[in-house]
Amino acid sequence: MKIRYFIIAILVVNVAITLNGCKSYVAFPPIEETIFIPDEYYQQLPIYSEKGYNTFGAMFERYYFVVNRNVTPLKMLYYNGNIEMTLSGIRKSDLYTYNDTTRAMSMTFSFPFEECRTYEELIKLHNTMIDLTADGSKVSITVGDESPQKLEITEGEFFVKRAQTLVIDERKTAIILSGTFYFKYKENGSFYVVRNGRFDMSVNNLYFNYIAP
Amino acid sequence: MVSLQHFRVFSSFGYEIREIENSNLFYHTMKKKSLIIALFILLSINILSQETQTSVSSWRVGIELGTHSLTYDRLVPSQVRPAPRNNEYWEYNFRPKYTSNIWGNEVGVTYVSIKSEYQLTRNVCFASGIRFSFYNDKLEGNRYYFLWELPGDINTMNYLSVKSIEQSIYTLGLPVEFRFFPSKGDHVVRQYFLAGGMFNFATFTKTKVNMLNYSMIKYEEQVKKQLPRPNHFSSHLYAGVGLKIGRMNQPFVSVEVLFPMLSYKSSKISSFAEGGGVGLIGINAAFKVPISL
Repeated sequence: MKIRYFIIAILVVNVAITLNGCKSYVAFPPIEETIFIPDEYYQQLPIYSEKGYNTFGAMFERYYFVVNRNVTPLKMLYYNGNIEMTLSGIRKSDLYTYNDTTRAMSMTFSFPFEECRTYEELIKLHNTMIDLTADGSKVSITVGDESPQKLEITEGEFFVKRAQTLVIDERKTAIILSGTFYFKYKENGSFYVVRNGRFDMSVNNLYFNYIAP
Repeated sequence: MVSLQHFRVFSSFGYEIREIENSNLFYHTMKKKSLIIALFILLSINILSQETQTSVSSWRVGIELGTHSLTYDRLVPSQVRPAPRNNEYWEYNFRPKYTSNIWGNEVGVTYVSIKSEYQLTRNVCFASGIRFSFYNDKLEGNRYYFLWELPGDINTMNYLSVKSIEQSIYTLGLPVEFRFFPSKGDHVVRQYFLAGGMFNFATFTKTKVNMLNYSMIKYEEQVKKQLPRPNHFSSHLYAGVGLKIGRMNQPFVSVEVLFPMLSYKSSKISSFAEGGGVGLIGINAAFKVPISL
């Protein structure tokens, strides 16, 4: 009887060890990975790159708004004559530590643009400068669980410096959008600044949606 | 664009490139054998020795076969797309199996030389000749494949999925050596010390690109053209201990253990490796025939 219990105990331990060894992990195709290479001067921000590293970052007053691996960094949609690009990450004061001021944060840029039915058509954004104060342009910010806040932009630009078709083994895989942004906005009588913004994203049909009018 | 400096900094955290594992296994075994042989040589001073008064020919020619390790630092070409930093638990599943040791990564060099040797005094001789060396290097990602960037245009970025790039490197060089025999007599078994330098002056490569998608093999030449060439000139200095078996006025053999070996650090020894400044150990065997001139 004792031997039977002993064998069962060994089997249970073996199964537990085996299951512990089979930790699951999230493996992305290389092109969907976030590759954060620190900027030479602003170490908390990613470098400006045009490789589709799926990173973005900006200085937001005394905080940094940067990409985070646990948050899907980009959602894009074309809806009602506008392109809407949402960068999602975290707002934090220091690169290496999480503290009480660290919050999930997203920033949405919306601007009128010619119709893009598929992600491949986003190549039309190449070398496109958007004046964020122009009619139809909108920027909103969401911090933590707060509801989106539409900003009153007083000055700002969103520049898609380069759009590239990403080809892997002769197969079109994504569109790489790379560029910069900055803006000033007014809130409760005070002015706030978002500066040194840069993004380098690979967009495919997982992250782009066309919503028919 | 990403600067090279940034890329290198990141590469040290990103794509870690594996060296040839089977080659390292061979050289770890070889190192153990070399140490045993070195011990044997040191203990065998004057054992089996017999003094002779026969005249010794001043010139000898010989053929030599040997192998030595060479440490290197990996240079990841800028065309390799980096991987994320390995600072999250799931990424450890993709970490390369490091086969380096405290001396760094090692590559095993095999060589064959034809040398002539001149007896300067009863204790000292000088040798030189020509040496043909070869070794292999392999660039592999820390995953099943890595992405290699091909030239594109302003609106196109092209990548190839590459499993590995294998390179065989062949060099021609000039060895220069001095041997010092502590005992003056021509014993049957005679121990000696040596110091030398190896000066490679020509390098040839044979490269093979293993594509993930075999139909992409048509781009192989293009990838090869993007690879930087290893340096034609490289050199290393070494010391060692040896054992001559046989009398010098007859054909004889010698066995040597070379330690340490020092090389010029920044010499590019393959398209994706830079000399690490030190080689750990080497071993060679030679067959020499006295000639009269």
